[in-house]
Amino acid sequence: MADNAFLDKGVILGFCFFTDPHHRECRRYLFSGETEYFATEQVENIFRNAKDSIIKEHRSQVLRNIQHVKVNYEGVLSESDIEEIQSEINRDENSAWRYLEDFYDDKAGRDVYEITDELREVIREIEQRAEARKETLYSTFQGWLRISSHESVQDELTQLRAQDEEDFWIVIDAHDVAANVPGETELATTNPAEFADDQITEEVLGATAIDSIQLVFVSKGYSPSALRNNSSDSCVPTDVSGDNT
Amino acid sequence: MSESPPADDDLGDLGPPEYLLYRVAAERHEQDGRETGRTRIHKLCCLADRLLAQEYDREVGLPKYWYKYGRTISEAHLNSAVTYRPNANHFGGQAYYPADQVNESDFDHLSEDLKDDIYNAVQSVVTEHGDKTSEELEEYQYQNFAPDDFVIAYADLRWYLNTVSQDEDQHRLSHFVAPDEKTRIEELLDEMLANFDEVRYSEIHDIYLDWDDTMRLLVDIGRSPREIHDFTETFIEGAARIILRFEEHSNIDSKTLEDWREEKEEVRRDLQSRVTQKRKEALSERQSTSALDSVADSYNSAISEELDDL
Repeated sequence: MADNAFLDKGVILGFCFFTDPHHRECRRYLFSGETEYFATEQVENIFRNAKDSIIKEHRSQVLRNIQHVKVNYEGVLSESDIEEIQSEINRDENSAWRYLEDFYDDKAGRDVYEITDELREVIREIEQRAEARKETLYSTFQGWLRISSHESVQDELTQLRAQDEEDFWIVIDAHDVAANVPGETELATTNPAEFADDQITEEVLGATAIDSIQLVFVSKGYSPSALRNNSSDSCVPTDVSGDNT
Repeated sequence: MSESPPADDDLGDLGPPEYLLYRVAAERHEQDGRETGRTRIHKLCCLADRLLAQEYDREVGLPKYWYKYGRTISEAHLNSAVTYRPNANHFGGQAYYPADQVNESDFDHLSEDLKDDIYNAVQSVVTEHGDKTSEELEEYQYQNFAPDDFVIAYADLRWYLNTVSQDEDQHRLSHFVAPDEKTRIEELLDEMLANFDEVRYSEIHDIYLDWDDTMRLLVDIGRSPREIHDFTETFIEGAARIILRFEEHSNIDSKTLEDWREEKEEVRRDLQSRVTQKRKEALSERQSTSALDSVADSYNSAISEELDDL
């Protein structure tokens, strides 16, 4: 672990939303007690919007599913009712279908009222945990206001800027921390699309004072489909610089 | 045309809707001499207007629309000189009387046939409903002339909450109910859910579902019927301002409709914000459960996908 870590929005989101065993790994990374954590207002804003959007979309899909089931089914649900309900879940809306289908797996033989009430607890738990964890996390990291705009560094990060403007400014902020706070600084991110790219990594580590990029919550063998199909391996911190701390 | 207003009248324009309002205020005053509040006058006007349309084949042009407590008239579109409205002695708000400076001859420019029909329709409505309270009139209007079953269902919920919130012994709705048993309020919420028209109310579909689940949460954590009643009123007012007054109105001018349209998005945001705030407060008091852990693997996959899509 580095002395300082600059947190990208995905790290904060992962901490707020994942449940165990992933959450345990996130907690281990963020509460090591040896590292100072920093985040900017921009990261906080992006995180807040993303958090609200995730909650809104998942709540919408779960509550619409509850409405559909309550209106169209009554009494004790049979195996075929359950299969039908699972087949009616919309896979195109957002990712909530993954746990919705799973949720109904063992529900045959139970009453609609009881089942939908239990499903309400799932979405309430997601929201409640995210809010409570956000408060916990906010008390552990320090807000960072960029001291300098680092024009010359900006000029060197051409590939990153072309690929993703938002990540570009996160790197500038992380560089600002690295350049002004004593000790080694790592950028903690969940974004393998940019930061697992060797050329981008080389560009960032070459042009900035950032000592390493820590890919948190994603495996080295990342690919979007692999992540979807094998999520249990996806929360291990991965140091892409090879410069273990 | 005999229905145009007199040119030299200090009272301003007095058309058929003003005559209807004037007659309702006058009939009510003559009926028992007691004070009549705004809601009762509005509801009686709407009932007389409906009777005129159905029984007399008359459209008198009364400006009316559906609002929080049912169908109401838009006084802003009427000449208010026909009524006198001092502060009421026996309830909050104003009492309505026929204005002293107005008399039947001020409506001489209207045709006798039209005036006779209005006179008779108002007399009939006031005789049948004039002694009802505003709540009784509201209930009569909802049960007989509500725009859809969802509106009837939310009115049933509001009346139930209104009753229990006045009953000190039932200060906790879940008091006598086992945890796995439906409360009366859940039954009423289910009735709303069953009658929710996803097309008509599409603009507030998600807000409604958030509100519905938050209502159930408020019951679960033992909030008072008064608080739950007020939260219901918030939703009903929002539904009226965002959807129902646009769907159910007549003789409202285009400028007013434009004003309603302009404020609609702000009303929607305000309603969403109130529901979100109430939900946040309620969630902070909720007892955590293991429901989410039972789907941990698939849920974590879903979150990984969300992070991937950032």
